[in-house]
Parts: sequence; C-alpha cells; structure tokens
Amino acid sequence: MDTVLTLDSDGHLAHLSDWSEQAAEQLAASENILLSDAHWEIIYVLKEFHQRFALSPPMRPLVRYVAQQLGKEKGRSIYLMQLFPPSPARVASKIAGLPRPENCL
Amino acid sequence: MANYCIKSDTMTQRGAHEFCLQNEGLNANSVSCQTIFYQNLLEYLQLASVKLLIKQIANPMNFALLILGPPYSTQASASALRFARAALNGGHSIYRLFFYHDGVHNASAMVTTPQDESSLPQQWSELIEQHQLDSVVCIAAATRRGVLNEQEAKRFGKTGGNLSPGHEVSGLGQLVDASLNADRVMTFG
Amino acid sequence: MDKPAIEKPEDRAILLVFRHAPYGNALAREGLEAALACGAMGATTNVLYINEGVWQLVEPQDSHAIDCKNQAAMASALPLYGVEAIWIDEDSLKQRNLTSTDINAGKIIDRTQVQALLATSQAILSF
Repeated sequence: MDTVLTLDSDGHLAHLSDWSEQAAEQLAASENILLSDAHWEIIYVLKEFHQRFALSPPMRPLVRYVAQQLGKEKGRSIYLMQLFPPSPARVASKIAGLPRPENCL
Repeated sequence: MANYCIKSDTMTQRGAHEFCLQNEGLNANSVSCQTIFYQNLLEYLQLASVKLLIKQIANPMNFALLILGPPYSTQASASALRFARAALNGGHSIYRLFFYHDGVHNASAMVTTPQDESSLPQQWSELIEQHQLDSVVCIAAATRRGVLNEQEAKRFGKTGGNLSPGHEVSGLGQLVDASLNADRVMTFG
Repeated sequence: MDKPAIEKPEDRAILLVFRHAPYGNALAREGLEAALACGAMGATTNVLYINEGVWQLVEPQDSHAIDCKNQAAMASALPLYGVEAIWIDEDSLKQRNLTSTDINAGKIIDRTQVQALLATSQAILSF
C-alpha cells in the first residue's frame, strides 16, 4: 500500500525529507517507469552528486558524472534517455528527490 | 575585441577597479580604451558622461546589459538605465537587458516611489515599450526574491504575479546567448 | 521561451570575474550559477577569481552554521559543467596570506596573465 506523498504542482516532492526508496518507486510510477537495478544506480549517483556539489545537474554534467562514477558505457545520454525518458535530468532528479530545477537554463 | 565594463560599486571593489585601470593603461579622461571600470557616480561624471563616451564609438554597437543592482538601494540600475538611453539615442542597439541577482527587483510592479522621485521599474518598462527591447528577468533569481509573473505565481500557489510590463522571465541561457551574440556586455552591479 | 536558438560564434569566449567573498552576499553564488550555465550550454568559459573572490575557493569551508550552501563544493562542479579554465589572481592570494595549498582548484596566474585574459575575452561578466 502506497503512502500518500505530498507533491507540488509539477509532481515533485513538496518536502524533500519525504524521500525514501518507496517514495522513489511511486514517483517513478508517475513517470511510467518501473525501477530496475540500472535505474537505482543512477538514482544513487544523482543523490551523491547533489550531496557533493549541492546542485541538481542538467544533462551534460549528469552524463559526465555518471561516466566518472559508473564508466563510459553508462555515461552516455542515450543510455540515460532509455532509463529516464523523455528528459533524464529532470525525470531522474524528480525520482531521486532532488530539488526541483529552477528552470535557469 | 574591446570590452567596456562599467561598474558602480562600493569601496570594497576599489582594488579591482584600480587594478584594471592601471593594467589597461586607462585614466578617467581616456575614452578610447578597452575596458573602463568606474567606482561611483562622480568618477562616472568625470568620464565626461556615458553619452559622450558612446558617441566616441565609430560603429554602431549591439549592447547587452547585465543589471545586478536593485532599484533605489544602489546607483547601478539608474546608471544602466541612463546608459541604455544614451546608447539608443546615440544610434546603437540593445540586444538584451538581463536582470539578475538583486537586479530582478527592477522588474517588480510592486515598487512604489514617492511622487517627487522617479520610479526605476516604471522607467525600465517605459524604455522597453518605447524601443521594443528584449528584457529577460532570471527566473531563479526572481522567484527567490518574490518577483513572479502570473504563471509562476499560480504554479507556486502565490496570490498574484507582480512582474512589470515588458519583461519576460526566462533562464540563464538567455544571458549566455547574449554574451555570445552581443558586441559588448555591460555589467551594472 | 520563443528566444532565438543559441548560436556559438567561433572563438567567442566568456569570462566571469568573481570579486566577492563567498558568503554575506549572493553575488558569489549567482555568479557561479551563471558560470555553470555558460559551461552547461557549451560556451567557451573562463572564470577568474580576484580580490575577495579568492575566498570562494578556500578549503575547508563549512557554511552549515549559517544555513548556506557550501560555495567551494559548488565551485568544484565547474569542470563537470565544462568549465575547466579556472584562474586565480596571484596577488589577491598573497594579499590575503593565502597559498596554493589553501584553495581547492584552479591555476594561479600573475597580473600580466590576468591582463591578457581580460584583453582576450569577448564578453566579461563581473560578479
């Protein structure tokens, strides 16, 4: 039974502290994504990025960081696109419970 | 290519400006220089006014203005406005106004000024309207400071938008684009 | 956003000059965010830390107690965003009794090199 998450008008977590793996599964479901191990490793890399740099990455830095952390095979936009369509940086950030992007690009 | 970088600033930045003046071989009377920093209005006036300065430029320029200073608190926004007017009157064009940092307050329709003083946000809106300028307010900087258009206000559950007429909210990408495509970027902050 | 698409004229380099200490004013943070945007959009980007700006790179820094994001941590993401040209003014370090061991990134350059950087950049954004 899913707990009821408080979401903002764009479907992001209203309170980032509500994030849990179960919450991530619910957020992923709202994007029609069923989380596999391949998804989880990206989610944790993304959380680590945010912890380390205090930033939510757009696509290009995300690809580079994934390449650094998980290898070049996974650090490709097409790979991330397959996992988190249609916009990997936005969708994966939402599922990972990162702050909503400030639309600054 | 030459750059003009005009600043109205506090004394804490004095070192940087003196350094630039010194290293660029500039002085307050030099108008054909590559980079000009100025510290305050007085120095600005000693440059024989920006209007004169711009007239010295042989070819029409396409300027981008980065406005970091708020209305009223500092001189920056007023200087930027006068620069914009002088540039346009001098036959130059303005590629884009980009309001960032505390400069976003210049796009607040809530700014209310005593009757015997002029309202910078209103003057900016008038200038934009008159010359059909492209004016962008950084959405992230503005949202944090409570300057929102109707759409953003609704999105964040706020009572109403307060963006002055003529401005558009958008991202830092518009500053990057302006930096790449304008002949000169002028920082006022 | 019906703006013209980003075009990148050849050899057009943007220089962002950071002149303020990391906390007490949002200029440092918003300047950095502008630099990250330049890099993320593929623009040729240089950043120069000068005067009080050199404090932005000093490590360790812990901004937890003032409830601010760690500026040095954010700056360390610059290369990931495609900004690898990070320059630090030597005199500014010296004036503050700082050395290369106090800062976390970048290349220290002297005033002649700073001058050349200013002279060759097509757009200078000052924060």
